[in-house]
Amino acid sequence: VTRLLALVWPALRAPDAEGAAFDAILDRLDDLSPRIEAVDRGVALLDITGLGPLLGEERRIAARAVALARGIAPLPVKAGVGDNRWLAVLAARLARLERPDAPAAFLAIPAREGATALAPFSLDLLPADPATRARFELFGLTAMGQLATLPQSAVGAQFGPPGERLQALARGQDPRPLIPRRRPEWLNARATFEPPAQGITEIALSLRRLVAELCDTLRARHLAPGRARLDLHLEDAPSLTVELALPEPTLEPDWIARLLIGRLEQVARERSAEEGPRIIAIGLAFDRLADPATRQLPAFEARVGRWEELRWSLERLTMRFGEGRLWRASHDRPSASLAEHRARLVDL
Amino acid sequence: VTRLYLDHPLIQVEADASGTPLRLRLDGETHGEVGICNRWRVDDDWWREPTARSYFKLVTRDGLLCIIYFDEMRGTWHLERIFD
Repeated sequence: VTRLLALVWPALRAPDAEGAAFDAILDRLDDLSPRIEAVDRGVALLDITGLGPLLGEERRIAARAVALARGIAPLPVKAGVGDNRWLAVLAARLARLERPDAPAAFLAIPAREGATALAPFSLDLLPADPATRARFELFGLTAMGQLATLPQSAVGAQFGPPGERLQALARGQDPRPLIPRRRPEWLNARATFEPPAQGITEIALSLRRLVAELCDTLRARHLAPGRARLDLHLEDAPSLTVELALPEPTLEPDWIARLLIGRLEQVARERSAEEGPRIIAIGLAFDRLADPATRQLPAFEARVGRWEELRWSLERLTMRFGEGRLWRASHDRPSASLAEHRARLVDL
Repeated sequence: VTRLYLDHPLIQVEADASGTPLRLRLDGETHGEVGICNRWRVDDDWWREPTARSYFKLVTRDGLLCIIYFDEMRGTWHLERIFD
């Protein structure tokens, strides 16, 4: 029997909540189970199957998870355990604090007893649309148990496939598997300069070498970075960090190094006009590692990263052909009678 | 694909009495036997910088398809667009 632990942090589900804390909590929970899914912001699902002999009963496992999470952020949390993701998340939703100042609420739906446990609960807990809800009422169905005991064919005939899915949930069944997140991984490389380097041009070669080294390592593992971070450790000055988010995982050392240098020059220009401090060391890190070959794009949805991909291509073209050679056509007055008034070229 | 000439280069055009182009000279080459595909006028911006142009979309014997116009304010012919 699979047992899943759902953890819900109501404070992290607020629209203005910071996402960094949740990511840090997930990283910390890796200590408890390698199979963790971030269902939504502020909702995590952990596979705790078979952890009993090691960590004790489910309440103790949940308490351990809560303790790990509170080490990052002392926020109130609701924990629930069930046989599948529906039951676990529902248990977390239904969990109530035993005392107002308790750090966590806990509720477990016993193994293989999902249907029995759910029977008295209201159908309002099901993720049904308002029209289906209204039709449930029309048929006099108010409790999960009533829906669960109806023949599946009758429910299918009246409510269609969505109704059958809702009935399965009312019976405590949910076939959706837990999809574990990929454990975040950073790949690092570092170069030191003795004597310290005088300017950005002096570190360019070393940076290119570091990028190539990391790309080679990743190529052997059939992975590519989605983000690069460059740290400049300076003499008598605070470190300088630039980050480069790549719109798609790429293994092109030249472009990555050039873009990093480009960003660095931009940041250095903004920081001070005069000659900057000397550079003692550089640190390069890659993360958001992904398989470049198996990246799939949704067929029927708008491509989320499309503009970012375009920006990336344009940036590469600018690098290749130099500044001031690319423009964007802006269609300001498409219905203007003179062609030259319909659009204008804007410097990128 | 068309190429829009935003700088509207001057061209030499031989026109008949009604102002319809008969021959045009472009990049040192003369294109004759002009066939007019379409013609229209644009009068615009009279309140600011008046524009009065007679536009011609034309095709020549040697296959050049383009849009030219006669600037009636200046009395000059210009090339606006060439179709591939």
